[in-house]
Amino acid sequence: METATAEKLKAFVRGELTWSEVEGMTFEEAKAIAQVGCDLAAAGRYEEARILFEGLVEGNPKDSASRAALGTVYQKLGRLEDAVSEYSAALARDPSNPVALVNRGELYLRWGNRQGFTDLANAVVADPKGQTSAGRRAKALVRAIALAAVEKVKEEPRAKA
Amino acid sequence: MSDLLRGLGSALGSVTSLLSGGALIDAAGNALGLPPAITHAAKVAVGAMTGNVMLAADGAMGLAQELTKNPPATTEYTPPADTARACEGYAAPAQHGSSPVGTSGPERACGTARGSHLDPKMNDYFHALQTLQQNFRYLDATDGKLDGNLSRADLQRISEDARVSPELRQAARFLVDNPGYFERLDNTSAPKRMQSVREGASNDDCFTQHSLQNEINKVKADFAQYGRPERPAGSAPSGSTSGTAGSSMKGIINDPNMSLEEKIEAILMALTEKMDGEILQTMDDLAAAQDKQASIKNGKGDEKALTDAQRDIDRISMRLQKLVEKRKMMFEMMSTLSMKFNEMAKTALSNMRSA
Repeated sequence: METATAEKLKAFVRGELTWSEVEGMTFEEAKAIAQVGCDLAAAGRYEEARILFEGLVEGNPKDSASRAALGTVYQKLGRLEDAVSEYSAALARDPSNPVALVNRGELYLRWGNRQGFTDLANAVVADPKGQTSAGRRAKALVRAIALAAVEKVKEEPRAKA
Repeated sequence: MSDLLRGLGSALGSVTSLLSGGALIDAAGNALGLPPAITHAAKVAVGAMTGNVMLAADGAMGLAQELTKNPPATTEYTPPADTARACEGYAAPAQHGSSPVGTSGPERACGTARGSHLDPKMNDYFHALQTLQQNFRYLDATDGKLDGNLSRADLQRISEDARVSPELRQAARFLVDNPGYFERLDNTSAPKRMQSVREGASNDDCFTQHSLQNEINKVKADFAQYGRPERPAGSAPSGSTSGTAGSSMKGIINDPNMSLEEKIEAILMALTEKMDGEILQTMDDLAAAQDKQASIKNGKGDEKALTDAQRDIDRISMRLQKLVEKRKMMFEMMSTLSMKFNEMAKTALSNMRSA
């Protein structure tokens, strides 16, 4: 075995390198693989997308974008706890990831957890121009929440009268 | 849609009781700890609801469309805008650079030098190590004996020896001038098993060809881990490449219109041209040395001057021979590379045909 490879493996064992670094995978290559994963998910082939994103996350657990994307695949597969766990891991590394924010926010709201509002609000702040689908959804959800809140407020005086 | 709103409404149930008075939305925003963006969005929605009925209906329709167009849990890859953070945990790309895939994400691809905090002198150190490693036996023999190692004193002597080519002198000079790097090399000299027997035994101010190879591998590993440090602007790499040649190489490397194969060929071509220049220069030197010898012979000069002239001729002849061999090797390498690239293209085409 080459000395350089041995040094890299030792660094991996010590936790100083990710497996992607040991293998020499660049960000551009990871992005290309992730794009395939997104296409698979868009085509409804979630199991294949899951395998790709799980591989990316194993290779580089520091990649918040891969973790958020894996979360969406888990969510589609009905593994909601795993999805929230991935979103939270993504947000721990990148607190302004709109995909993780909006999807975790929506799941929290569904479970009646108020943290969901904050997540959605932060998603709007993270993607104010709506460049991502998640960002656009966050905006629409915020408007929907506002409408629902107003409706609720309008109903209350009527009920009292 | 109405289900969603009902769901959200029920989720809001416990919160909306907080809302009262004229500044309803502001109160809601404050109560929920929402940022101003949401409070503002809420105000807009209220405006639509309390103003024109048509407007409100239109707003609700737009909302429904927006939510349908952007379904929940859409799989997207959204790396952080900060390139350094996006590239964290991934290997630095090769020096020739690569174009970013897709349009989303960081605008600049992760550079090799970005984020690398290695000493820029590491490039020169690496170059010096390679030069010494490839010419080790010759350098070892310059003191008249082949003992298999080079010491600091040897390097000092080589760096001042006019008979040694400038490239080799420069490599030796680098280690003499940078004792930190010499110590680094010196401490990797002995294999690990030797070090365990006698701690510090490797620090004996001399190194072997094997230890040079080990150190080259270690530097390569450092480059792979931290990225190659960027050379400060204006500084040419030490060694055979001159400043102008260096900049022309950089031009080739950074040329976006050339493929990788073309770049390699252009670099080899530039190196071959440079070598041609050196060969011509050496031939001129040889002719001058022969003229000098002839004039000494004609003028019945002393024996010592004649011997010196002959030694000069021998030295220049040797140098010329080495340069010609190097050029031949370079040409062969170019020819082999060209052949390999052709083979690769042919294989790819046949694979595509069979797919």
